[in-house]
Order: sequence, then structure tokens, then C-alpha cells
Amino acid sequence: MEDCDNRHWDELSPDALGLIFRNLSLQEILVVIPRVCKSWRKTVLGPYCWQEIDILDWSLLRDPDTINRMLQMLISRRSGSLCKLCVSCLPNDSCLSLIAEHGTALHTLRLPRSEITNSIVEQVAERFSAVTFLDLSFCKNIGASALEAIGKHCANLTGLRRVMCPFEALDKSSQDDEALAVASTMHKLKHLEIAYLLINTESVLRILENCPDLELLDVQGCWNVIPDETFKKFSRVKLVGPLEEISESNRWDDFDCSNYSSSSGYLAWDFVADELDDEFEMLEFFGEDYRSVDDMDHAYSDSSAGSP
Amino acid sequence: MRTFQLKSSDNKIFKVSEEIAIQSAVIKNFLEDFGSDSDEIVIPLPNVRGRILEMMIEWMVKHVDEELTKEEVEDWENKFMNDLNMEVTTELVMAANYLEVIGLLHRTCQSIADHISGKSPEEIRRILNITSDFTPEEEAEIRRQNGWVLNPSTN
Repeated sequence: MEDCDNRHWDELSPDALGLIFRNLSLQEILVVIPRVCKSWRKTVLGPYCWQEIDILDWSLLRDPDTINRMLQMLISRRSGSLCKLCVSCLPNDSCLSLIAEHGTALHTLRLPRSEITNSIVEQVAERFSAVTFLDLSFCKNIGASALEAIGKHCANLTGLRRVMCPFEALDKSSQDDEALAVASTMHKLKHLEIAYLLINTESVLRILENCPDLELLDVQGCWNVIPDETFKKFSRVKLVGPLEEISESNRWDDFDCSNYSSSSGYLAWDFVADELDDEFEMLEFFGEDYRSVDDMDHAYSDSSAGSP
Repeated sequence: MRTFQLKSSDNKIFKVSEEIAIQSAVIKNFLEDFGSDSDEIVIPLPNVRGRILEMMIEWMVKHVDEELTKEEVEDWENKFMNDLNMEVTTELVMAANYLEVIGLLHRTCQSIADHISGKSPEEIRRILNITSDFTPEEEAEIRRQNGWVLNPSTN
């Protein structure tokens, strides 16, 4: 710090520098900024940029070890209260334990595509009592008991995203228990996205009856749901699906989440999935939400070789 | 409307109304501690020079002007920020941080971030007039350490 020759930069406090850096991308903060000068490096190594950690996109294309390493590094840097954490493809339960340990102030938690299990979610749910928006989409190893634990402990939960992959659902007979867990424990929900969950009409009605604040319910691709006369009394709720395509609007803006998915809807997937083998290309086309699970199996070169 | 005086580090005096000045949390607290309603009060701000304080007040005046629409304030603010060089912007960051003018602090930080986003370390140093205090070996080491962040196939 003492060696920077510009007096203004010397005088800028680390928290002000942190405010500047927070406007930059993760890659810039971690790779470019530390090389500018010693005081900037010190700031990035400290807690000042890390109240919100969003590596949702970054983690999509990383192997489990790299994700784990990044998570450990970032969580060790933040101090005080981590209020927002977005990461895809959490590789195992111990990662969620780590998050729970430091995440008691979290209000937004997004863990799509994570390899987490019911037992860990049940175990740590009480640590997430401040969470208001939760995304557990495409987490295929969890089910009703995890959602129930969440519902019991996260009394302020107003947004839940539990979108499933159309193909993964094929080997399950029903996910009505998940919908019922939502209906019986998450009474404050305003936004609920459960696209492609294998549920029936009755489950949706239960949700509508038990979540009086509900404003948006997305049941796209829930083919067994047939809205009938009884749905009319819930006209306050904007029901998306099961048949119509996704609108262009960013309905999740309130929750500061990324766009739902592609505007082309689910049908396009069947035609294009086989043709695109470049995952980057696929991501651009479909948005982050339609990444095939097989992508995880790609063996990247040894990316954990460098020492931190 | 209560008015009082702000005194910069170079002893320039600015007379401001309470409505304007309380956008600074520090001044607001100061005034709450000083119940007096005379404009005899002089608040010394030894960390802010006159030119910067003047700009800050200009920004605060615009942000309480009820005759302006939100869009007009935004337009004005964009132009205000665009006209500043990075050195002055940095001084404003410091002043806004010191006096806790949160809106101005965020806007100035954003402005600096916009100027350095997408740039290399060398370019950032040039833009902000920062001299590297790393040896080439140190910088190479940092580059090596952080390579894994960038690319799935790095390292």
C-alpha cells in the first residue's frame, strides 16, 4: 500500500475499494485486480468484496474439485455476513455444510444442479432461517423431506425455485410429495416455480390453498396438471403453464435472479439437444438452465494443480 | 429551513440547507447532536477540499430537487459523472465514503468500475495513474496462482 505513488489510491480505504470491485466480474476480481498493486491485492484477499458471492455461471463449467476450491476460498474471505450465495453444481454434502456454517445471514441461496442429499438438507436447514429466496432446481437427489425441512426452518421464504429437468423426471413415478411438502410448510411463498415436477392437479390446488400470498406459480411441463373450474377462485395467482410457453419478461427480477430460461420454450430442446455438442454454444442458446447433466462427466484437465 | 455552513480543508465555506446536507449520514448525526437552529453552526470537514465539497453539494442539491423527474436527475448525474476525470472521481469516492453520502458513493464506485472493467492490469494502472509495486517475479507468481479461476482447462 505504501508504495503506490498516487496519493488518492493510497488514501482510499479497503471498504471503498471493495465497493468499486464489487461491480466487476468474479474473474476480474480474482485475476486482474490483484495484479494492479499490492493494496488492491490485499483488498481482494480480505473480506471487502464478498458479501455477495455469485459464481452460478462460473461453476457450471467447472469440475467438482475446482468448485469446492473456489467455494472454500471465497467463504474464507468473506467476513461478517454473507447475504447472497449463488453456485451451481455443488459437488457434495460437505460443501453445503460449509455454506451452512457461514451462511446464517443468507437471504438468497441458489444451488441449482447440486449433488446434495435429503439428509444434509434436513441437518442444516435451521441454519438458513434468514433465507427468503431459495433455488434447488435440478437437484435430483433431494425430495420432499428436504423441502419440508426447509419449509419448517425458513419461515421467511417467499420465493422457491424447484424446476426439474424433463428427462430426469422420467424415471420417477410422482413428485406429488414435494408439492405437498411445499403446501404444508411454505405458507409465505409469493413466487413458486416447479416446472417439470411430476405432480397432479390436486397437488397444485393444495399449494394454491395453502399459500395465500402466492402471486406467481409456474407449472410448465407439469403435464398431469389440468386447470379446471376450481382454479378460478385463485385468479389472483398468475399461473404459468402447464402448456403455454415462457414469456419474455423477467418474472424473477424481484428476487434478483437471472432469467428463467430460453424464450423458445421446452419444445426446441428436443430438436437441438443432439446437434449441439459444444456446451458453451448450448448454454448460450438455452440459458443456464438447460445444461445436460452429462456435461459434469467431462474430464477437464487437471485444474486443481496450482496452489492457492 | 435551517441552514448552516460547511468548511472545507482549504477553508472554503459553503452555506447549505439542512434538507440538502442530511443526505450525508455524518452531517445528519452531527446536527442531531447540535440542537441549535442558528446558521452560526460551522461544520469543519478537514478531509474534503473545497472543489470536491462543491461538487458533492451540487450532487446533493440535484437529488433533493423536487422539480426534477427521476429521469432528469439520472440524465444529469450521468453527465456529471462523465465530465469527471478519474482522479476527481476517486476524491469524490473518498469524500462520499467519509461523509456517508451513500448514493454518491455507489455512483462514483460504479463509475470507476466501469472505467476499469474489461481492462488488463497494465491498462488499469494507466487509467488510474497507479504505479505497480510488484516485482515482475511477484506479478508472475500472482498470475500463476490465479490462473485456475479463469478457465476449466488452465493449469
